[in-house]
Amino acid sequence: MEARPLRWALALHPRAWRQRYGQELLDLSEELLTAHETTRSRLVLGLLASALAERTRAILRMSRLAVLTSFVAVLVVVGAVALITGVFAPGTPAHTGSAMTVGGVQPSKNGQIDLRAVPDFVKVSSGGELVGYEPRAFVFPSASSPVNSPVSPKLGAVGPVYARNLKTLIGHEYPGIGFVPVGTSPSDQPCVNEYTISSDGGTTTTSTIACPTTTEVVPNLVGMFLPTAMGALSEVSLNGEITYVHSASTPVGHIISQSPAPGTKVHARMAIHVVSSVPATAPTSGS
Amino acid sequence: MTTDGIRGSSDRSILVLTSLAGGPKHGYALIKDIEDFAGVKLGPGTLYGCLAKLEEAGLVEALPSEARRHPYRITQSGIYAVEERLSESARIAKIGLKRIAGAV
Repeated sequence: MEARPLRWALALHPRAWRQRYGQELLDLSEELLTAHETTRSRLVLGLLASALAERTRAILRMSRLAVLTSFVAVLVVVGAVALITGVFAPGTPAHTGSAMTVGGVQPSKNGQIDLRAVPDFVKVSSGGELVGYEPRAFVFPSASSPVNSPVSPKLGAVGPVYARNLKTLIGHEYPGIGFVPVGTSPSDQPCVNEYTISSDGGTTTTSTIACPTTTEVVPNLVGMFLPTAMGALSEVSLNGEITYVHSASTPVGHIISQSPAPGTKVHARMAIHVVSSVPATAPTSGS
Repeated sequence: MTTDGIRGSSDRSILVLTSLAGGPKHGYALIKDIEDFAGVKLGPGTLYGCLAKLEEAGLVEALPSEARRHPYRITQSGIYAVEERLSESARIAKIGLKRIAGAV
């Protein structure tokens, strides 16, 4: 095969790039040539252009690294001077920059979380400290609304949410999102009346999903903050069903009462009915 | 804070991500698919330039090679990135079309 000009053009690419993509590029070029999708000279021209682009990119990346290095060096010098002269008194917030995990899943280097690895109902912790629970539902911090201020959450995605936001999320209509149910997977459905009906060409089939044989002891939820209560239920494979009532004695967002009572043995997956306190007027977003 | 892989002159990256959003593809299938839906024929050099950038940014990932074909698939981050970019473009397109209609 007369592939020498192609190999020469490929050799002009940065070495790391060549080692990673070189063979794939040659394979693809062969396939395109075999299918008469392109000509050899066109391929060589294209590769020359991409070599130039990749070289430029490599240089740019290097200079970015240089800029970063000098920036860090300046920071270190400034920090050392500040330490000696005592310019910055203590009192800086403790939790800035602590890594966020969702359901124990670490975000990748660009801050995204692989949702396939996240369970349906997850603990949210910041810097090793549990800050709340989150249903696998509907919120994601986008570039314009960073992690700790989910001003405009996005439909259909999961992301780290602090407990104070959960209060407005679970079981509520949320602007731009709609109603947010607690949990989304079939196993989160209550254990009573579990049957599905499917209609296929006039034939209706009803199938019943049997209740799990395992039993769980209902935890005491009264007085808990609603998201924490939901998390406590999910930990023992139970579901929550929330009613909102105003109460003068129970703080807003906390559980007034529950049914069945704490200590009762119930089927796994059963929905526990809780009553949560809301303000006397219609709830508004924000704290 | 647009993701590195699709910042700047990134129309081609969007084409690649859009194509991969329909399922994993190897280079040849990507070129044909993009030609079909966008009418743009990418050269292998350009394609691998995009794939390299996108892979580095974690928006696509390589799957095990089959014979001499090397498939790629979009990652969850890639889906978010392309969704964000496309909705942004759709919004701008809508405003632009409305203005053009008003200007005639």
